[in-house]
Amino acid sequence: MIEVKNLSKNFGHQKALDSISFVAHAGVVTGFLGPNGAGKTTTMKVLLGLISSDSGTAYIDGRPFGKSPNPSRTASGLLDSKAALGSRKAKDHLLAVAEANNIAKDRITYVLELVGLKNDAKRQIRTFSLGMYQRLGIAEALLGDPHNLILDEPMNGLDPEGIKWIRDLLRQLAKAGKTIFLSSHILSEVQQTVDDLVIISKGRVVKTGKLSEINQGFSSLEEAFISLTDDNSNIEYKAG
Amino acid sequence: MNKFLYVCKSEFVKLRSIKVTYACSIIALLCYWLIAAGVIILGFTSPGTVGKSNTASFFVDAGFNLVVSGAGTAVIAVVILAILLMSTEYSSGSITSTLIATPNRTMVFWAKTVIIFIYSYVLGIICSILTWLVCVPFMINVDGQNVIPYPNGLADWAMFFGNPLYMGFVAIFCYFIAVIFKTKAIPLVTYFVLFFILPSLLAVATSTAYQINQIVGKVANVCLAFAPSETFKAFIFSNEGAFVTNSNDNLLFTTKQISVDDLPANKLLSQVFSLTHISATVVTILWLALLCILALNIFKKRNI
Repeated sequence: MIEVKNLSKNFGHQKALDSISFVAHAGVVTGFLGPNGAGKTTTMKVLLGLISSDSGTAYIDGRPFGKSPNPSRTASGLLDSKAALGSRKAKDHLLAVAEANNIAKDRITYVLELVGLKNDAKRQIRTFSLGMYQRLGIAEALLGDPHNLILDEPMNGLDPEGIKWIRDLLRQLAKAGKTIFLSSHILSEVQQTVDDLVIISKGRVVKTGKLSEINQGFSSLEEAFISLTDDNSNIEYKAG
Repeated sequence: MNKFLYVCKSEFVKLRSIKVTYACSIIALLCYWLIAAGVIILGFTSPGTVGKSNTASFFVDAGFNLVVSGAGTAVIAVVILAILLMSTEYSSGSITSTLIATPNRTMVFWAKTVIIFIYSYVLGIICSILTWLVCVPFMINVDGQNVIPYPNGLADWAMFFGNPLYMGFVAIFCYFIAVIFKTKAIPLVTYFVLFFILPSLLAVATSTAYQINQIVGKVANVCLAFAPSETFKAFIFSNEGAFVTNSNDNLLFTTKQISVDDLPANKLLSQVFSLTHISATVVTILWLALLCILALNIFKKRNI
């Protein structure tokens, strides 16, 4: 379970997160939506202990991720699938992650097979296509079989078949009791994948709730999203 | 503790899965061989000019130094690798995956330190052995004499096991700098400034500034004695000086009278100050500790 309470973060004078609070429950897929620069990636980075917060708490299974006794079982994430050393072989990239947590080596073969990269294990990562990078990132996230998965745009660059595959995979993982927290821009896809939604805009939570509740009164999720985050037309876009 | 070993294993996987590791190892070996080749060529071509009447006695005199002197040059290869091992994590972004796999940054920091040190040290030992093997055919029969250098006594073993320490300590020193700056270029430039440019400047200042202003000359002299480039040399042993201190010297520093000939002008720099082996070792450890604390604190508090 992921609990974020009154989380704030400033980058210099720029407010990235302004006291956001939400809960992503175990056993469901929670979608995390917001326009570019709303603070989605920042929130995910704080959750995974990659950046510090100014105030508030971001707990995974009741404690900060950094204090987890068994991090690879607690949570893992896919933030930027291109964040891998290109000259390394895919298998070695996963092996480094596995060794750090004493994960059995056959688990590497298993996740590579699961994401469909079994035959590319010995290729240098730089030769991969965007979709393959994405699959490798997902393999890495699944390596430790974590209770919580934090995925930033996991469908990016995947072909229609890949998108369907990851949708089914995430549904299946949620059914098994895991907490799935994902951001995406493909709203039609989100609609088919998530149970709950957290919508943020300009560093503030504008709406949380069940997908059906949020959709109420709108013809589609897209319309709901645009109306909820409407006053964003003149925000300064920033990466992440 | 078990957890730390796992993280070390992970760092070792990263080290062995990039080609630059093998390139740097080969360059280090070539450095050892080139230094040895230089001495061998010198020995065979011009024994007279170095004050030895014949080639055999030249090599007997050179002794085990021949095998281990490459450390001072080979260190550049391990420094480059130590810097790359950290900076490529940032340039490629794989630091994200490292820190998600091991959120405990202190552990990541120390695991990398340990792996870089062990790699550099073991590389130094292996290079020494391979250099010895390559030297043997040349020295088996010099003027009818077998002059193969065998380690002979404590001083030679100190060189064999000690000189690679120099590589290890300089490598982690530069790794700390790489942790602070994240990039490739700045740590490399810092290394060259600290270990090549600064000591030359201070050495020049020690002798020439003295003519203009004695205080400047003395300050330059003391700065040079405490500069990392000089103190780290405490780990480069030679079979003359190791563990032997001149009875006239203080335990902490030595002063050497310089004759008029050594200086361009008639003014005499009365004494040149330098640290002894023991105090240089202590100062080196202080340099490492200082940089380590700085790097670890920056690494722990950094956003990614």
